[in-house]
Amino acid sequence: MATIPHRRYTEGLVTAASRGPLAAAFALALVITAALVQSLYRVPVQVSDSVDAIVAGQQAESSWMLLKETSRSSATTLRPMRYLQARWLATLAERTRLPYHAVFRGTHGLLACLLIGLFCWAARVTHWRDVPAFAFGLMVFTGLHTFAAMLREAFPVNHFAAVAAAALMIVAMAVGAPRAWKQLVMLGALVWALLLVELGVLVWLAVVACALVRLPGVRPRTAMVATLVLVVYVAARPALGIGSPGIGAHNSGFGATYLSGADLEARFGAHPLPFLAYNVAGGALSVLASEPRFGVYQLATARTPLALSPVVAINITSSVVTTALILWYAFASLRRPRESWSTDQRLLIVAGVMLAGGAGLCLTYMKDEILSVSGAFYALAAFVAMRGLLDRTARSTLPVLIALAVVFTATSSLWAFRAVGVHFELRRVAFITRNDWTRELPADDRSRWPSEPAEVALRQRLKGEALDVRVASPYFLPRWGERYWVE
Amino acid sequence: MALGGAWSLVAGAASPQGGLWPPDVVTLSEAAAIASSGEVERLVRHGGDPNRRARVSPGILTDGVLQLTPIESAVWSRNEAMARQLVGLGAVIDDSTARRLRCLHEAHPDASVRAWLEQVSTAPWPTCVAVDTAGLR
Repeated sequence: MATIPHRRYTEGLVTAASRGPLAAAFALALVITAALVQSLYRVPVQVSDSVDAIVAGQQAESSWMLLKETSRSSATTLRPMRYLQARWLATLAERTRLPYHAVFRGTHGLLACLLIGLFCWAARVTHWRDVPAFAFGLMVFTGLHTFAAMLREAFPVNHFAAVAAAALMIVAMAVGAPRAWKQLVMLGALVWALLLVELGVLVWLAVVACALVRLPGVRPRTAMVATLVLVVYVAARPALGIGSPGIGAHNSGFGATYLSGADLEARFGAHPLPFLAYNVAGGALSVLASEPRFGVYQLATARTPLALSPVVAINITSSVVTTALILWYAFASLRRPRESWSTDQRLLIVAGVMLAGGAGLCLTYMKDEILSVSGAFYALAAFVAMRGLLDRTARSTLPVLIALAVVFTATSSLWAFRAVGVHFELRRVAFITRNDWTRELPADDRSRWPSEPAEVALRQRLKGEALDVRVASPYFLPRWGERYWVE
Repeated sequence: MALGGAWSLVAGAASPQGGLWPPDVVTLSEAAAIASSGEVERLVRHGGDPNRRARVSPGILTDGVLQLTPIESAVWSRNEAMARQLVGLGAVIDDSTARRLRCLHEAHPDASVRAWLEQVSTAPWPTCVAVDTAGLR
């Protein structure tokens, strides 16, 4: 097997030669991001897992009191930053007299821009040959089901998207020179992510993985300090009376069936190891092969290959081909001595570590949101592998070139089709979310209203804004969309 | 993908009904028929009358155009929750309306809608001839 050519990065990413390709990559990302933000902005602020945080944030006497109260308010989660963000954003809305929708959904939209912008930065497009690889990676990123998981809900800000952005930022910084400000930003991002959601531990993993593969931008001391921060966090949880949810705390799938928490506890409570192993393996496969989803294998429900739902066939085909590409690149390029690994090869190792870390967090239950960070790194690996393939094809024969072109044009098309499905899903989510608001503050049942006038006023305002968001009904969406985009 | 996104952006900015899968423009009766409870409440908040007949476009309930009250749409589409929501938003059901709805239900039966229709009026369940839907067009 011919060797994969090296690529070398300098701190000055933008050279005269790279300006054109970089501008093309950013222009492509900009158009796709803007369309996604347009769809996202049409989703009202949701009721569940969102309004309560906004209300709690507004009712607290101060941010400090809110931090203290919410650090002890749950037996299984430590997420004070979620409430603080809600408070600060609500305060911003009050002071600027902007609608809550504009502030909260606007923040979510900015987060989507940040995610894709950081993906661009981490990808490091420097040659024109990188641009089609980047387009491929971007389609994988936005088409994978874990990306939709970062858009369809908000709590009131989607913390999974925030953690994915932080992890991508770590990697993007790690490729360049080890500036002092970068080390501080990385550690700050880690603290913030850990206090936002438990998935924030993957930000620590990103720092350590980048340090272990010796990406220049992360100093070993930063990785040590990050580990110390994690140790403090892990020790603080039991001190605050916070444990981890066990089997049965959440519903999850097993085999071809989605089971309730009670069913899972009854079946695996006494012997949890098989279920834990099932979830970790399934989490990795969900990213690598788009199957299972939420622990359920759709393949197991289809009696014949022809009975397989089109959406499952599309998802599995595109993912398996892409994973095969990544594995080929890994096998072809990582066999050389570690000291001679290029930046791309080190990024590939980091992506593998992040995939394993995300899968590990699926220990007691599986859902797309937990795998959202892993999905972002899978897309980065896909870009790196495609770039490696395009570098390699310069020396390939014509029949091989044609075969590769056919396979990857088809695969890219499937990913683009999946990415369009995100807009379809956001339309459905917008419709359901707005309908949910009709059950809040029912006009004919005041006994279900809160007792505090300030809370009633806040909920009324949120409800009014949500109802005023114009949405598309699934009735008018293409009927075939359900079969081709919704699992 | 990029070309599609650019088109959706420009078309969406040019008109609220432009772009990919734009928001609905429906009457109150149509919103009730397609179970768009959020749109029903939005229209009522902005002055829509839950007791007035409005157009229901072809393809939603039948192949032809209908003129229905929102609650008639709800009963026709077998949606008991929508019927309750409309009453909560001010839809009035007197004995005459209840009789009409019960006969409409005979053509589009549903157990939960029937249970609700039995509650809304103390009048006995009518003996219905085939509902003259021509009058609803």
